[in-house]
Amino acid sequence: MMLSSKGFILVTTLVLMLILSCISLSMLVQTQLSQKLAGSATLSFQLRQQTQSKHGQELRLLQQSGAESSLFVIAPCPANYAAWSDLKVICEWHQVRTTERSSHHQHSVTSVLVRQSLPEGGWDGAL
Amino acid sequence: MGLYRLGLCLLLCSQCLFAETYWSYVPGVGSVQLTELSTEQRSLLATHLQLNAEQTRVWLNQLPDQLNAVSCSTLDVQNQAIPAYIDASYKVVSYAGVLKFYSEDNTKSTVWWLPWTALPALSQLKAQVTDLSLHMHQPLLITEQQLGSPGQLMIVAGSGIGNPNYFALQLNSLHSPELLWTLSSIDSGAEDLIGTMAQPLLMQEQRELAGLPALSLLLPNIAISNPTTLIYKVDLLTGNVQAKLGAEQTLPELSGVMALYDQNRDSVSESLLFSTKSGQIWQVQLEQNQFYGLQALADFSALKFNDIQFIRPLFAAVPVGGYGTDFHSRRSQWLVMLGALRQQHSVFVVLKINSTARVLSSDLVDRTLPDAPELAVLTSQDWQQIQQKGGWFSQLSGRLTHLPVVAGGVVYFSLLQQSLEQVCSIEQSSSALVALHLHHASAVYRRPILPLAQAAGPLKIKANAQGGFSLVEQHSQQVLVESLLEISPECAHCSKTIEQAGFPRWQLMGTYHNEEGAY
Repeated sequence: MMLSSKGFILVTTLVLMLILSCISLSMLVQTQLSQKLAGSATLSFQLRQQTQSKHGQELRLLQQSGAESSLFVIAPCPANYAAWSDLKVICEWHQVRTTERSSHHQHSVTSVLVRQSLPEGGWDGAL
Repeated sequence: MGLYRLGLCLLLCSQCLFAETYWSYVPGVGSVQLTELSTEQRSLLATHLQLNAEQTRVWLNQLPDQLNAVSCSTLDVQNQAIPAYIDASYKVVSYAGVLKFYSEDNTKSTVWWLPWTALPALSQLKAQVTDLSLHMHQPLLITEQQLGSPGQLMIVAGSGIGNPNYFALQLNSLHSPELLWTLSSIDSGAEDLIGTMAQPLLMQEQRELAGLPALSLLLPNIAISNPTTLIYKVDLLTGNVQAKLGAEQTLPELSGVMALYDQNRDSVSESLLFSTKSGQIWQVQLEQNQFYGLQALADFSALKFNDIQFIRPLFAAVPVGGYGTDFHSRRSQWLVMLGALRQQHSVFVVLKINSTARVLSSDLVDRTLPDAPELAVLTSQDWQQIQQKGGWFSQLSGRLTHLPVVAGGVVYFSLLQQSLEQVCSIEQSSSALVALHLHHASAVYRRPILPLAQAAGPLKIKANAQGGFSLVEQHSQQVLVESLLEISPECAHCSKTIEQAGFPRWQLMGTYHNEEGAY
């Protein structure tokens, strides 16, 4: 009788210890998760800012130095309020894409720009 | 005595050297000079003219005087320069299909090309040239760049007198023009060709294989009676008919102007604009030798036009809002610019293409400048009307001699006011340059009409030393407008100087973000 009650206390203690360790472990995980959750927005914002500032720099570089963009197509010019009749005005459509990566996360910004060259000349054809 | 002989000899030689040359084409023989015909060729000419040998000799002797009498200096203003690789000093002008190649350099002789079919009707030429209600269309010049073979020049024109026909000349040297082909009603596929007083239109089609684009021509059939074919598409090098646009309904007489444009903006011009003389504007799609989707865009018959001088499309951002905060609302759309003749004056029309409804004369706002252009005002009601209606028109104070140039939203016209008594005298005419706002036809410069000392040729835009742009007359390189202005969307009358430093001009069309994965 004595032996069986000792065993019961041991088992109960072990079960309680298990429950306690489960609770404490899950709390630990939860805290870590919430920390991660709290930090993810900041990190995402930081990445976004980083991509945007890099993209802005790339756009400035393209407009200032005429560096090559990733994509370049010669296509009809967009409509202008101050329109030009000159058919020789060539519009280059550039696509600039900036991508920043961190672990498991990727943010990219893509801009489409048109470069209109110096218009000189007239309208082809005679009356 | 010896000196006299020498002088006489020199005089005769110089006469030969500077004498005008008259070229034509005798069927079955080839290109010939009418002053150097063999007996056989002379008899062929006599048969063609329905004259006897003596009358033909008289006709040939009178030919220089007859052509000199036809020469019209007010029409010569419409000349086109011959490319430098042939002879930069020469210009070409067409008198209803009779081509005159002339130079202002007195040591260079004038060369005439007279279509064989026009020879019996030469007496009608003067009446055609001096008819102010008609527009004299100029030929199409196709250069070595377009042909893809260095040193070559082709000229395609339509004849307005005699049997109607289109013809193509190869002009590798001005003194040996070669006829490549003619297209008239005797040719297969063109049996119903009735009128050819028009300007041919060049069409470039990409071949499937890499290389130069295939070149073809679009030729309108100008006819008073109902034609069964409106437009022919022919091969540039052979003149063979490739396709025809049949008339699905009765149309008034077509004008000789057409324009191709890229309506869907995919870099391939597939839409063709053409007009009747009375001002009905039509559009048809053209793809792989197939015409389809004939559609009437506008009918300006009520404006009583006599003829159409040109038609051109223009893609622009058109204001649709009102004053104040609404001002910046704009819509990208195609405009049609039309130059029409009403008696001796040109009327300029800007039409907003509306694919759902036909625009009528009543849908246009009359924006003709008053006699004192400085007093012209644009009221808010006018501005609202222009934005809501289908476009505007303005009667100009003369006759357009060249295609207007649109630069920075300002339309520049070179005009000629002919004397009604002496239509062909440039000395009796006055010239002016007019500049109008593209969206409401008001003045952009302090003086909207600038009188010119001499008639202006084609207008070009050139960068100037002051860091801006100037408008120059192409032939004489005379500066007409020192510093060009550009209209600004900030207000109805806002404008600013165009600066070279502003180019190349970058425009941000859009930015989009993409996010993948998560923390």
